[in-house]
Amino acid sequence: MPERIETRLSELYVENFERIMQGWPSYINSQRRELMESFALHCLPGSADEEYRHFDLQKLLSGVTSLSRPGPEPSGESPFYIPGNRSIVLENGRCAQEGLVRLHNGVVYGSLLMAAVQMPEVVHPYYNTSVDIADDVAAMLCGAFCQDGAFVYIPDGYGLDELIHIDIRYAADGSGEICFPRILIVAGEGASVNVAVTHSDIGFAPVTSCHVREIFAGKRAKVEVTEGVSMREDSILIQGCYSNQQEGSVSAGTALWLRAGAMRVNSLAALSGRDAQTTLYGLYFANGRQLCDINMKVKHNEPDCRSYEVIKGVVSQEATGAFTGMVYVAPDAQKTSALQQSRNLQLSNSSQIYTEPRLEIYADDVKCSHGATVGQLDDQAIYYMRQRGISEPDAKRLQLRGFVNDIISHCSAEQMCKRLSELAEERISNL
Amino acid sequence: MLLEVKDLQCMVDGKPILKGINLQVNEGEVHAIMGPNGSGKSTFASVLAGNPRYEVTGGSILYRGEDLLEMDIEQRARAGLFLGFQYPVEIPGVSMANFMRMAVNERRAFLGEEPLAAGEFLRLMKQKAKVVEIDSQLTGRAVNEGYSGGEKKKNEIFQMAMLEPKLAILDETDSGLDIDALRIVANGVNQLRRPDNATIVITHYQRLLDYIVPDYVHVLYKGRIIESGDKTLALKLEEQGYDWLINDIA
Repeated sequence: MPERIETRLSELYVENFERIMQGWPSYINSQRRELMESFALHCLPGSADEEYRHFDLQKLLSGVTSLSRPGPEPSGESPFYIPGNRSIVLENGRCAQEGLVRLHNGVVYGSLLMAAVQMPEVVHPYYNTSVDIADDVAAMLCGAFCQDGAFVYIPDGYGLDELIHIDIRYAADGSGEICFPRILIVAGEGASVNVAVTHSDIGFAPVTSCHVREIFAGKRAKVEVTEGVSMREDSILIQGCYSNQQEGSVSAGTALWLRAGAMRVNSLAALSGRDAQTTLYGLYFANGRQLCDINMKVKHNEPDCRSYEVIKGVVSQEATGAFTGMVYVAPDAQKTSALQQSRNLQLSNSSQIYTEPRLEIYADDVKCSHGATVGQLDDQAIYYMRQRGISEPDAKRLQLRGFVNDIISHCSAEQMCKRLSELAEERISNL
Repeated sequence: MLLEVKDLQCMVDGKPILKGINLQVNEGEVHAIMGPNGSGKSTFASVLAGNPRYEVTGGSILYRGEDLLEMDIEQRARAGLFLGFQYPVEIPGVSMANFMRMAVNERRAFLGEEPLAAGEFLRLMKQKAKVVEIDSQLTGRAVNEGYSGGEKKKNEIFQMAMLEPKLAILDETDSGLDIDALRIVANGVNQLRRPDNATIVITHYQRLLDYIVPDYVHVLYKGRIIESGDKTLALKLEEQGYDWLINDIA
């Protein structure tokens, strides 16, 4: 009988725990033991589980055999790389730069491991606190296995105008490698920060990445995150994206998920203070037999908060796209305003789209709306463009570009926005 | 001759709509096609443009000596055939500038001209926008998205001005226009008139023909042209309706 993947992962932990724990302070390492103990009580969810019916985690992780190691040489460039940006490069889960960058205004960024050691007073109160482990076994694994990550800290009242690019690169050279990169972003009261997080795969073999990102926005903080994913067609990316916002804070997210063999996003945005606002615009492409499964939860825990999410999917050939959304409004969260939209384009008959927007509302004075559409390219629009002399493939590309730009245009980091457009354009041409 | 239509027949969803149309259009001419609802006017325009919904079951169309029916939609457009849509299509997310630049450069490529650089193109847009008194802000927006009915029609004529077609077919360009917009649209069309191009105006009302004076007026009824004449035919139709013609053939 083949070994259970849960057993394999537990063994992997035991085999590597010295390596994993090396250098980390005890307040983090003690959490690992607890996480692995509780993992031992869990099964990885599979297609029989409601939340994972489109994304069979058990099956997808079954090929995992080893932890990825930092490559001996920097392994090439990420397609998202923009020269001149402040950046934190993670290679196979390890921060490529040594130490932390400390700016004169108190802003600190760099290796999460270094931050955990040098700034426990900042890391400890936040690290792993937003992850609801019962909900997310993948995040549990990331907590146990994580060897390094990226850390960004903006103290109270300060802002950083420049973009910080967290450039996560995978370069597997054998099959069955799994990687656990992690991000912690803490923005103090009134702080503002603009971060890009990109995942790119430049190795010789597929990788499985189990990533967790935690963002904490203090009162009136402003956090912008641009996300890009460009993985191999046989790589797997599982992302747990957690954010927790205090009173009056604003978070704005733009995501372009270009490619992965299978990608899962578990996003949980908790609005934990009055008058907080979160927006997220995201779009994925999937072709071939690729799979993309986006799970978005927004928790309106306090009154007067606003959330706005638009997730788009473009599927072609035999690809599968799935969206599950949940807007939760707590009993006292009056005057909530929430909108959730899932918009999908299906370019072939054998592709599949599953979309399920949900609302769970326990307050009575709220404005919540949700909607989902699945459609094809508009024949009338293509006819119209052809009548102006534009070829059919160009007309289709133009229309797709329109669908995509609507999302990318929300990215406020100018150069990154331009880069995303270029990459999207390239992707559209190869759908 | 610019256009020669012979015994053109076509079906939509298995139902015959055009039942033998004959029409000749020369350079420099303006033809008006009138007729009651459901007579096949818009179908005729769509067949000329190559709309795949319409199945041509007989007859022939020569456009500048070439078999039009053998050409793709975009080939016809590049060769200078322009259709002003009765219901212009909204294309969210596609900016007018991008859309038009592609279209103009396709037309130029067909004519053996170099593509326009961004600066030249923007100057051309500005200049042509004046033809239809269209707000230059409109051209910065997505194609037809959020345009009023009048703006959409002006936008059609604006595109016509950009593309400088040999043969423009205007399908009920006057529908949904108030008097001012009608005048602006008609002025636009008149400004674009040249000895080496031609226009087919499809309309319900004589009113438009006060502004765009046709050389020929044709009446389409049940898929055939049952009467042709000069501009006085339009006036007579305005006064007396179609009954006298229809009764004639009955």
